[in-house]
Amino acid sequence: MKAKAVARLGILSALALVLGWLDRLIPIAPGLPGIKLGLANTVLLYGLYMLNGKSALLLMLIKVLLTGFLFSPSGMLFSFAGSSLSLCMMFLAKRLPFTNIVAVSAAGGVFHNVGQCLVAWRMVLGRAVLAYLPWLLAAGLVMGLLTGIVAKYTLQALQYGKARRG
Amino acid sequence: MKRLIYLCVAAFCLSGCAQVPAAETAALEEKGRVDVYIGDELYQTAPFGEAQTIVVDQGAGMQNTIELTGETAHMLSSTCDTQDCVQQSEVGPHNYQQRMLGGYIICLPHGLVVEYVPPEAP
Repeated sequence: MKAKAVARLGILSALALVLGWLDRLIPIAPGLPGIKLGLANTVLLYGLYMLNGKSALLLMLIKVLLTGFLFSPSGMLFSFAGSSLSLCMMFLAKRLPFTNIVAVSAAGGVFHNVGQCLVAWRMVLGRAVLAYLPWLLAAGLVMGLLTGIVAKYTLQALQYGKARRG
Repeated sequence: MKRLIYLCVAAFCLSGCAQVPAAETAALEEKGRVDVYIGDELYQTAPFGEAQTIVVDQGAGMQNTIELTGETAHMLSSTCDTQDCVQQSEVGPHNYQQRMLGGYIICLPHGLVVEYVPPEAP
């Protein structure tokens, strides 16, 4: 890996970490696990659209490990399951015809919560997870759409800046 | 005759005394119960109408305290790192159909679930 790529990965990882921390500072639904803005997902979307699948995977792993160790060790397994499934589905959704970054992000948001539910299903009473699943899916869709819109305008601004620099 | 009256009064009083606990039990049963699960295994069941505190100690510093007030159940404290379960609202007959989590209070890090079971449920 070239020095420039390593430096870019470092900056993006730091950004994902800060956005993950911001997610915790903005309580969307206090006490309800899994319902959060998911701003850090914009960095993964950047990785998918501006870099490649391998870089996005690396970013996701670094984000899960660092966020887990710094903020919530018990949530690391949930975060890993959710982020892995989300990234896989975003990767596949991106390849489909007639999709855009907002739709890809929405798919990522929904499957992030599905992944977390699958782990929760194994760890706690299944019917309790099932009762909560519809809310999680709805929240994943709404938050995914919102972060997708943020990512869309961020990428547009970055591409405009890049074009102006030549 | 007097003796008969005394006997009747005594019988009436005794039947009344016997009916008070029966009425209390019925009132408790009317409010349902609370089941505490660790994983998918039932750890403890408690009548909902009775005020009490349930401490669940799983070792390795994993401890949850559930408080039943007679009207509601809530997670009083937990040693988990997220504290989501403590922030989840109280549960009871008045709100279990409106809450996002239904009749459940979930502590994911400790794999613990508190379920409010209404009286009509099996």
